[in-house]
Amino acid sequence: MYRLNALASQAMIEALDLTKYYGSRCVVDHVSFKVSPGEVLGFLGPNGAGKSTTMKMLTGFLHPSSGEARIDGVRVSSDAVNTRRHLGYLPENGPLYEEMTVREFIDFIARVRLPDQTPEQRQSACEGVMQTCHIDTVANQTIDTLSKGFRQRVGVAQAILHDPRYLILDEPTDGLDPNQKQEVRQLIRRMSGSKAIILSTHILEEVDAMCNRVIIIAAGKIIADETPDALRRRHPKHNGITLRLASENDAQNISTALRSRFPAAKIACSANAIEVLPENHEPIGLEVLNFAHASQWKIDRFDRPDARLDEVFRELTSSSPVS
Amino acid sequence: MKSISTLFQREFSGYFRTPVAYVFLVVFLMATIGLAWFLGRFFDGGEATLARFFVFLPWVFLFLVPAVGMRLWAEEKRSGTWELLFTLPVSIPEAVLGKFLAGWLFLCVALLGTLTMAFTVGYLGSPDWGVIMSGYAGAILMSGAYLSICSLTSALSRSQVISFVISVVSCLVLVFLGWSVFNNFLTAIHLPVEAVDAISNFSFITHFEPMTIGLIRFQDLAFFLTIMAACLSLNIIILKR
Repeated sequence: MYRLNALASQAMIEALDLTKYYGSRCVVDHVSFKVSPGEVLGFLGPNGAGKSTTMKMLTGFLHPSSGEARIDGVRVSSDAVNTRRHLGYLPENGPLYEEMTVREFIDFIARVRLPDQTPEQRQSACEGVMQTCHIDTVANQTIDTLSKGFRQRVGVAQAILHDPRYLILDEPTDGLDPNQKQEVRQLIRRMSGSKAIILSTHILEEVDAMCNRVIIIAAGKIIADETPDALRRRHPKHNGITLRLASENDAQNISTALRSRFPAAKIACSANAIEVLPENHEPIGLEVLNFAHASQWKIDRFDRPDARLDEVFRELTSSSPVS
Repeated sequence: MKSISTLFQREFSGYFRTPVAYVFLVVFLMATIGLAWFLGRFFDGGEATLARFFVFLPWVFLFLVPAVGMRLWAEEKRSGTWELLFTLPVSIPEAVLGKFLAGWLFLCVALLGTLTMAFTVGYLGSPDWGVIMSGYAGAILMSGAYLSICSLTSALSRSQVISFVISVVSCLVLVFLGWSVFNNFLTAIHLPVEAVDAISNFSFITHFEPMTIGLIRFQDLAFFLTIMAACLSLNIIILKR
């Protein structure tokens, strides 16, 4: 029982002080994190920030200059073949063997990934994953004739074929149309309960759609590691409120009244709108509403200011310029 | 072992998924048989042997084996599929061996096509089949040695053209060292005979020729097998880096 608990506690994918130099340039700088089953980690960062390099080190494809990657407590570099058995990986740009048909390719992956299963079991796994990824309709087409969307889904199919505990997906929705993106997101959400998933993306809305944890990396360093909600709280307009006035005449009077009532808040006044941004991002909406009601102002409507995640991302990463 | 077999099958069938394999087989057969007939004056000797066929093989291999070997790793690197391959539960030695064996079998298939020459000789005369089999065994071993060099050079670059050029130059050196014209030149510049012999010992021709006349010597087998083992080991080291 004790041993089982010990094993369970090790069930995770870990980056321990991972560092990678290309020549004299440090592209990944002492990156550490752990991801356990049930977590979907969004790996964000500008181009060249070190996302893909970190992912490649986690899979064992690249050797770190220092530090180590571990899967279930086992160093990837010491037992790459066995640790990869538990890992599904979609490389960036989805490289595939172009001259093979989709069926041949998936069958090839199945024979490498599931060598101990019978041909019937492998066949069943191949059919299942092709249906899950909606590539069964192009099963007999050679990969070089497929559209970008289908190619990406073939890449996802080979990554999940063996039902791995750990999934590393480098830009899984890259090149897909909105419907296909939605399908891939749903697929990842469905799998998220039992797997540890790390995915990189440039699209911030995907973090909201799929992830329960976000790591932002810039210039090779982790600059944020928290939940999407916590990240959103960093937005300067988080918990702010906008008053849309019925007429422009009262704007100055109302903003003066608001400044005296909420001296710590930041009040911005435009033609017929006043933005109230609380100090320390504490909720202020209800107090503003009550104050407006008591003062009998003519308010057209109240809005929440747009606290977009990509603005937080820009704010965080712009101070860490990528060389 | 299962991984080697799976990679071997994928690689071998991969040759026949594109027209390249068929073009190669046609060019190989035309080159080997054409050279033996027209340049080697195959029928003028009046002998029931394949000596005039085998003598051109090191030169034909010089250009055609790099054409087979250049894609082994350069293409994987160029297309990015080596990232896919080496994140599967496959070790680098397994991958190198699987791909090499597939390329080698493909070359054996090409050599198999030249058996028509042996059958022709058998139809027209009474050849010594032992000598012919020994010659083919030498050709198979030599093609493996050529291919191992090409596999190594293919791992050095992501450009198939660069890989082809380096392969041809490397193999050319190993052919030249035993070429009689080159050895005569070395003797003419007063290099000691022992030195000339030592230099020619590093050549494919020196170790292939005895097998074409039915001599199967340990040193010849060891030479080809050592080249293969050394080049494939280096290939593994390069891919591990």
